[in-house]
Amino acid sequence: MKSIEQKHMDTITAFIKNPSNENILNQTNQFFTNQLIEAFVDRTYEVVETFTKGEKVIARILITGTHRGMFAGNTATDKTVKITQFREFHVVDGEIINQHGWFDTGTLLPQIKIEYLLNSKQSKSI
Amino acid sequence: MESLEEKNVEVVSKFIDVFWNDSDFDATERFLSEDYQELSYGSKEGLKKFAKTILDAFPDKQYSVEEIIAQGEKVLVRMEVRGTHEGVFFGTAPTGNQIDVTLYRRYRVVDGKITEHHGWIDMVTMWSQIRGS
Repeated sequence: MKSIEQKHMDTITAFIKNPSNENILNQTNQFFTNQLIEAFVDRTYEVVETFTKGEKVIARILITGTHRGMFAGNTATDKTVKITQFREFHVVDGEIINQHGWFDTGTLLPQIKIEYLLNSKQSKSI
Repeated sequence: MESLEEKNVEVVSKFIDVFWNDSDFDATERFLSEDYQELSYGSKEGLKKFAKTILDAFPDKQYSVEEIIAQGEKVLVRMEVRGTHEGVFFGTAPTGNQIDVTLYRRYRVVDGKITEHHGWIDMVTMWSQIRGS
């Protein structure tokens, strides 16, 4: 029999893998969100790990995309990048009641910034 | 009796308080294992060096734990760091501006010692707040 945690994980994994939910996955409260979605195209989403506590599930999602537009003052590099998103879900009886997402930019900027690309020693996250 | 997860949460919470808030950088000797893996700052020394950079740039910085979940050996923390930009930060002169930035940290705890850390932070928001833009 599946544990509650396993059921929650199945619920949110199915949600993230469903292409019709991509618009929801692209929403956060961060001011640059629209710019990020426009700048990085051909995105694919993968759940890397999940953490569960009662009705709460936090998923670490790895988004792979191509840098085709201006982001945070950086012009398109055409590079393939990996963007981490954390998304927190409230799950009750197998249903997602609410959720909020957050993009990590500490590991994104070194992938597209010229000064970081010239000196890979600085390519660290925070 | 405390569960393994509760104990691990306690270890991580204490480390955040002592190391990140009280700036007791030698606390790494007590909290981190000998085979500690640092996945964001390169090494234990890199972690201490970065914490010092933050302390110099934001002397009043405070980290608050907003969410913490333990699962087996892993502990995931969502935090906010708040402070005033009063020292040079990666070449940027002090602006006096306030920062309030979200970060996530994932720790691994074995036998009461932290054996691994990986961190993620929103640097675009942080630079925007530093520059006041």
